[in-house]
Amino acid sequence: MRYLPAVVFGILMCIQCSAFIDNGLQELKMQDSPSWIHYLMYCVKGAAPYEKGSKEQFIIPIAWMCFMMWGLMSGLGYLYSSRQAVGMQVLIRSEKRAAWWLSKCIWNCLNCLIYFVALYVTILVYCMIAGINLSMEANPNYVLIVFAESSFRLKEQFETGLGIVVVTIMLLPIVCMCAISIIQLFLELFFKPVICYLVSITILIFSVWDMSPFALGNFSMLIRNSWVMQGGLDTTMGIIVCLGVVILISIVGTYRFKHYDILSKEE
Amino acid sequence: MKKEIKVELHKVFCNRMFVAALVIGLVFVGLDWFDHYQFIKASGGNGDTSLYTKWIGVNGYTLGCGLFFNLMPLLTCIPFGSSFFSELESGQADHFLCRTNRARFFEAKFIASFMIGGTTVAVPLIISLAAIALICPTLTPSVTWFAVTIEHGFFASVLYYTHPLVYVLIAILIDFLWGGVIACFCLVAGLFIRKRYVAMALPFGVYFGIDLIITILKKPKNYPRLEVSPLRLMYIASDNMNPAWLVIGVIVLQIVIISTVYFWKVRRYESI
Repeated sequence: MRYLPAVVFGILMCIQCSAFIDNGLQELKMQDSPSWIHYLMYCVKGAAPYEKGSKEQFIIPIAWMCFMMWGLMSGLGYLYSSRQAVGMQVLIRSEKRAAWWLSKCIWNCLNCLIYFVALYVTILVYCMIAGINLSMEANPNYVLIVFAESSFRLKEQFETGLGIVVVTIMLLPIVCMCAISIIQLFLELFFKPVICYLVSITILIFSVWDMSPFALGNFSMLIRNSWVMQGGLDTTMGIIVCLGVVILISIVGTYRFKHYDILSKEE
Repeated sequence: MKKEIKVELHKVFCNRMFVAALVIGLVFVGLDWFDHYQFIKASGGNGDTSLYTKWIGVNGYTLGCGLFFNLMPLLTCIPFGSSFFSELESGQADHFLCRTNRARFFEAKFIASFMIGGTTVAVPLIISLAAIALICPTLTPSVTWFAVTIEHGFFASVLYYTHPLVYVLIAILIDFLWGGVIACFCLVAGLFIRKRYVAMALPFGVYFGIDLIITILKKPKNYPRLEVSPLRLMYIASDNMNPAWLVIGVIVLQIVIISTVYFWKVRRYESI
């Protein structure tokens, strides 16, 4: 049930992507066929940067927002519930607080990984059923179709190597969600889970608003990556920043949890 | 009934989470205000700088506005969302049920939830109106202004260009109703879902999910620019047409569905 939203999202987006690609094909009259990677790119594309001075209405990319939001919801309240009832017994028996906290961080990252894997598998299965090519090569013509709505700063040429596909399209969004999710986990030491969730969603909305490396959500939007957009955010920087956040929060959280009163008053 | 409502209202309004939700709402309002303040300080404003184009309920382009209206479903669930759930879980609700009429207890809960949800939304909007009035003139908007996003056929569009203050007050009332509806949705979710924080985040997820489905569905060619997503209808100056009958109709429909489900479910509530 926890990963069902990823499956539902994957199916809905694949259906929409098929219609989108069909429309693009009718206009461009292309011979070669898309691959599952283009469907994956469509699911994680996000939205073009918002032009702040333009007074255009600030609209959230709903598909990307739903996917990230449901993913963050899957880990909501985990730390809080782990400090109640049976979880308290596990905490006492784990003897080392650092081990307990780090195990929660690892669980969190695994949760994000499985959430994305559920999406990837859904897209793969959809493409297998629809008879779509399962190669890992990103055809530049189809990349243009997938990002057609936001073509104003798209690069004219794209690298299509396997490394780019795996790291930029598949790995970077996972690492990004791990970073935001671990911030949410850390804040659960101080605030109620719903407030922590609100902070996570605020980070996402701020990322739509401002295309900066500090707004972590930007790294999960493929259209803002330097692979497709001129002046976009670099993949390497994204991985370093997100992993840095994960490691930093894990270390700070370890220190904080060592001095944390686990017998805090019940609600 | 009055006594039960008084007790419930006291519980919700004297609640730390209500204060937290208000503070968060006010932070978003503050962000919006600061954006406008910076613009006016830098440029001195322009011909279409008015309270009725800069107010958070209609401007649509600031970060504060985006945060406030997109997070509204979550914000309204914070004050009261977990209170009912924790009362049911801890058995505290049973103490109340022993001492008062069962129907009155649950009705009071529903009314209190509606009030707190609405208040959580309305108070920041009113404060935004007052704060923007400190830096912007109260010029009546004109259809020729670039800054206005309200077109013919939109909610109370005639009122906006003739009596904008009345329009703003009605918009605050509509958002109060939306806040109440969402808070009651959270209340109902708490009756079905055993995980407290998932129940609180459920209305937020559902509204976004409905918006996603509506975005995906292919619209017919001559489809009018009618806004059907509840998430976008919460924002009175939406991008697509949102006539008054649609806005009020959707609110009434939700109230009917939510109250029906709620009173059907609580009738079957077994405290043992």
